[in-house]
Amino acid sequence: MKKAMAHTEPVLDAHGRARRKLLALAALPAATATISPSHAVDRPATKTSAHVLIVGSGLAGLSAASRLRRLLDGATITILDGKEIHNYQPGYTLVASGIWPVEKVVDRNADFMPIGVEWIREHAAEIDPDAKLVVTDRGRRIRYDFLVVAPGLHLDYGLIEGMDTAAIGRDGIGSVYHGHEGAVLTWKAMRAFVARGGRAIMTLPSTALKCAGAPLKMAFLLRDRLHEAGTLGRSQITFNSSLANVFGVPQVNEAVLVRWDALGISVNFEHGLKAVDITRREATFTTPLGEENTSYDFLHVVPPMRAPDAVKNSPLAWREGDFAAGGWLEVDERTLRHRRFPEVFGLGDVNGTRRGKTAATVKKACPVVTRNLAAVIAGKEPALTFDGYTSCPLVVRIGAAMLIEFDYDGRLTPTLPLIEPLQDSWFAWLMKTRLLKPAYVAVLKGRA
Amino acid sequence: MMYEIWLGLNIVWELALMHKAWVIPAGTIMLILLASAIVRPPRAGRRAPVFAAGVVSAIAAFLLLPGATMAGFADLGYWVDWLLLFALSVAIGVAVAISAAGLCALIPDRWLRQIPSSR
Ligand SMILES: Cc1cc2nc3c(=O)[nH]c(=O)nc-3n(C[C@H](O)[C@H](O)[C@H](O)COP(=O)(O)OP(=O)(O)OC[C@H]3O[C@@H](n4cnc5c(N)ncnc54)[C@H](O)[C@@H]3O)c2cc1C
Repeated sequence: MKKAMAHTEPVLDAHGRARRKLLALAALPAATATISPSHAVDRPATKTSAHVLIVGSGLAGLSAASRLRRLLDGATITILDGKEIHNYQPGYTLVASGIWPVEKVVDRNADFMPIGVEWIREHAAEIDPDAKLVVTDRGRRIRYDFLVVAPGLHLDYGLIEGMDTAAIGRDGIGSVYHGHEGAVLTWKAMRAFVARGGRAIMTLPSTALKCAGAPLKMAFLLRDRLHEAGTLGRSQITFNSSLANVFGVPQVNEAVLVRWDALGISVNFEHGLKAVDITRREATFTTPLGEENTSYDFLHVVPPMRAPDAVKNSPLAWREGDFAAGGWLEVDERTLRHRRFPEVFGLGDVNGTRRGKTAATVKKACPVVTRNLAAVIAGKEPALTFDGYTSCPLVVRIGAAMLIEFDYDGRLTPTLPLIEPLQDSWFAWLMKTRLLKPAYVAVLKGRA
Repeated sequence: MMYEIWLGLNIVWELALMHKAWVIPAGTIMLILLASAIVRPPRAGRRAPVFAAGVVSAIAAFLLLPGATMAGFADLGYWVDWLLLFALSVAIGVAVAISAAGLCALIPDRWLRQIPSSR
């Protein structure tokens, strides 16, 4: 911890230190009891006095910190993130459709902060990789030797004219992406709509998305709720996609469209949400034939997404190609090491790679990033590669889901080869509702 | 495959931590009952009610588990679902049978003599 103070100012008060010690004592039995395959591979630890800075304490940041604690002997590890709450985001769709209570998706970051890791409760405002320096939103200057960039992504509601996130939950507006409060309010708006029925418009932007299955799940679940309430007959669900598909993996796209056809969910392609008039309940879409105004009773808004400003405005962002507009982090998609700054690695939603904005991606990518970083610290080349593993249990109704897993090339890569990915099952539903949160927590703790 | 087994163990561990408020007392009781069932296995006359408790629980689990998870039998459209439901029901039946056996071992003989089927 002392070494960290050389780089930054003290951040823990006496109370914080005492609490850390207690946590350390409490964690001792668990730490000695958990001998995992990944521990076995993680050892022997690399001896180093390097300062590793991790930007972001979401799933990516915390799991990287936990693993690096074990992999690096003597390193100073600092996490930078002003957010105190930890959200289990994969549970948002369940909260937004009235299946889960919100408490299941809200935890405290402090409960998962690895022992011995310094946590600075501030956000990165600027990253200067030439000077190996991060400046926080409160002006603190933090120097690093190695950097793990893991600040997730930014929801760009501002790009939709007239959209006001304060309206989520009323006037027929829902948006599952707007944090845990957004999920609760989406269920409020959806419940009110379901009781009466009417015209629902679901949207999909053209940018990269975190969990690209979530907008589809919302359409499936809305249809199921209408059916359950007996208002399906007087309702109409239309899915407006900005793209020429609804999902980037062709086989999954096809399977979803066939199901929607059978369920009566209609689809418009190349319909991007441009503007919304909340009081008049009217949405404007850009289409190949010009602008189209549509009235609605329920509008599910999925905002365009991009990298957070600190990355987008830094030299770390892609400067050309498909990922430049979103300012995504320029990493090599296999080693997840920055393509121009060798001491920088990227993990999680911020990465400018072909696929992989899911928690499941972090599960598979974190060991690659942390072991490659440890190799670089030890003066070697990164040896591990990532295949782009992305997974999304696609809930098709309350009680059934499809367990979809794929790689960078869009090849379906089921973990359990006997299980047909495009077959809906109760098994996948149980995974989604009962088993994935504990799996997520195990990843968060750097154990799985 | 090693990784999947490890992940599965982690899921069980985290589930237990999440529900420790009832997992610890229930687990302790189960262990005591298991130990008592091992030390004093049910005699021939007591096996029938133990077996019956297990079978009834397994059937109840089979019928109730989908509903308890917000699903219905109509959602079990894949052979994997039926296999899973069967396996879970058998596991619950076995756990109840073991508990019943342990309980039998703890209950004094004169109490059990009053139950006709255990004579
Ligand atoms: C509705 C929804 C449904 C989903 N469903 C699934 C699913 O079914 N399966 C699945 O695998 N995944 C799912 N996901 C995706 C999954 O939750 C994310 O991919 C995962 O959380 C990404 O982790 P991350 O650490 O990269 O980002 P996050 O978890 O978002 O964390 C980013 C952290 O960085 C911090 N941060 C931001 N900017 C800065 C800054 N400038 N400086 C410092 N810190 C900063 C934030 O405060 C935050 O704590 C879903 C997501 C959503 C929203």
